[in-house]
Amino acid sequence: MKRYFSIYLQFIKLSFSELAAFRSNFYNSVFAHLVWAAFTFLTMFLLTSKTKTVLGWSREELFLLTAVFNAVIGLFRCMFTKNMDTFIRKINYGQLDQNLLKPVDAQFWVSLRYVNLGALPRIPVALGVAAYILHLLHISPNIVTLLVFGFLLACGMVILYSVWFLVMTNIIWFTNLMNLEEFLNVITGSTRYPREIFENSVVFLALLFFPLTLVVTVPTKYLLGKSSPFEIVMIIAFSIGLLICSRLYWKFALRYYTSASG
Amino acid sequence: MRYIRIFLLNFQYVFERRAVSMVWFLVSIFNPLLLLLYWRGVLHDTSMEGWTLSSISSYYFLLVIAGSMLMSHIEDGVANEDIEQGNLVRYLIKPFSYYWISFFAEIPYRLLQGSFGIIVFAILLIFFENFITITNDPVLLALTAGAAVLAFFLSFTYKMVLGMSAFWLVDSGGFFQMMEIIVIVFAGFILPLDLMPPGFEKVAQMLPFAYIVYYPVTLLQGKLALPEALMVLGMQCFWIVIFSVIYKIVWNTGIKRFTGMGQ
Repeated sequence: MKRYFSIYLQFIKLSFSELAAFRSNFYNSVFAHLVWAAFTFLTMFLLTSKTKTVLGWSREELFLLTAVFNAVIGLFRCMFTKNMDTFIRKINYGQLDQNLLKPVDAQFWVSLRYVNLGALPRIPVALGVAAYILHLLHISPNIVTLLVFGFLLACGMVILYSVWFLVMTNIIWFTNLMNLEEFLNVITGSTRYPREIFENSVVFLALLFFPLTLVVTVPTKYLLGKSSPFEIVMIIAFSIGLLICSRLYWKFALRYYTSASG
Repeated sequence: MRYIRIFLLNFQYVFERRAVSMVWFLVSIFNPLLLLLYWRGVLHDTSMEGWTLSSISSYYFLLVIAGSMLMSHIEDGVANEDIEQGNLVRYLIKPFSYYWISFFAEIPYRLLQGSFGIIVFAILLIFFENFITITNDPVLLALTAGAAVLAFFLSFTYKMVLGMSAFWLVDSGGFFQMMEIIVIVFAGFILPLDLMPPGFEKVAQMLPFAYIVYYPVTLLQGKLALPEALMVLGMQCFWIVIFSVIYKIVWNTGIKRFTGMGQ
């Protein structure tokens, strides 16, 4: 574990070196992330301009949900998205061999090699907005609440990563689906809405999207003091279960990987 | 005839990669259907500014087809592949207009994704017949078809102009994302324009984007009277002329700056 932690620190240092060498890319990335963050708040503003409550959520609570979504997405984009993009190219050009031959777990390398530091500013901005909304709602979370909130956010991140990795692993068979990442981006966007919207939909959809509906909603509801023990158990269970599934599926899929040199 | 050949060759290429088009289609329909679930929670037994659950369901269902069929996505190809990578050179030496080659290359994508949209709409019609309202006035239906054609022309010309910003911008990604957000907001992809705050609605009516998706959809729903429908077509023609003039200017000035290295 200590070895992998020091390897990840090296990844961060290398990403920082790249940032220093290509600063305009970094500025572009920061600008794009902040613009998309503003867009999510604008969307919620427009959707709640003529109605003050939706499915038991007040307007302020929906903005809090959006802020927590931006924090989750900022961290996810920082840690994983660039790696998913590279993963597609590695599979298509048969370059995964380089990772499979290293004395480091391939899933670890493929998932965490690149750190997109341009996404980082989105996190403090989102958390700042969240803190302001909590102030408006007269909610002052204590240190224990914040720690549990952080833990639930981490569980949500694990669910999100596992779903992405499970879907992206299919590129090994369907090499021409290079736009799968765009589809996953759109699916991930569904986590910024309250999970109650899926309860009114067909059972199939509700079940299919159930894990994703927990990612942002459960930590936010916990902050608001509205979460149920069932939801907390579910988010922890799904984070563990989906991570194990993604690992097993990855191991299974590697048997079918053929490199360019093979 | 030669442009028909270009269309057929590109259709062959697009059809060969139909799985990729299917994924793009799923990308385009997911958000409207998600927003529909949201509005089901808001409007389950009420109405808002004349919009009921039935009419708003109809709006988002039709948005699925309109978004996939009428909204062009050529700007990335123009900016990244043609201008930044220098592939534009091969079009400059051909006896064809770059605009029309790109136009006939874009149509197969819209046709294929539009056909996916029609299939999905037909399935939705079977299960949610009561939630779909379309005008049965033959005049309005004919005007809707005309508005759809003009909307595609408008969308394509606008995106060509956008793509050619790469003549001046080293990295156009951030600019494209900002413009995409403006289009999503003001074309009616999030919610119908008359459900927006008054300021936003006024701005949307002044910009061209609502004439690409929002007005053709509401025209098909029968929410516009004949004079309003004719005004929509007039405004679409107006914006097509504006963007065509801008395209000419941008092309003539931009091509002087273009260099195709090693092509």
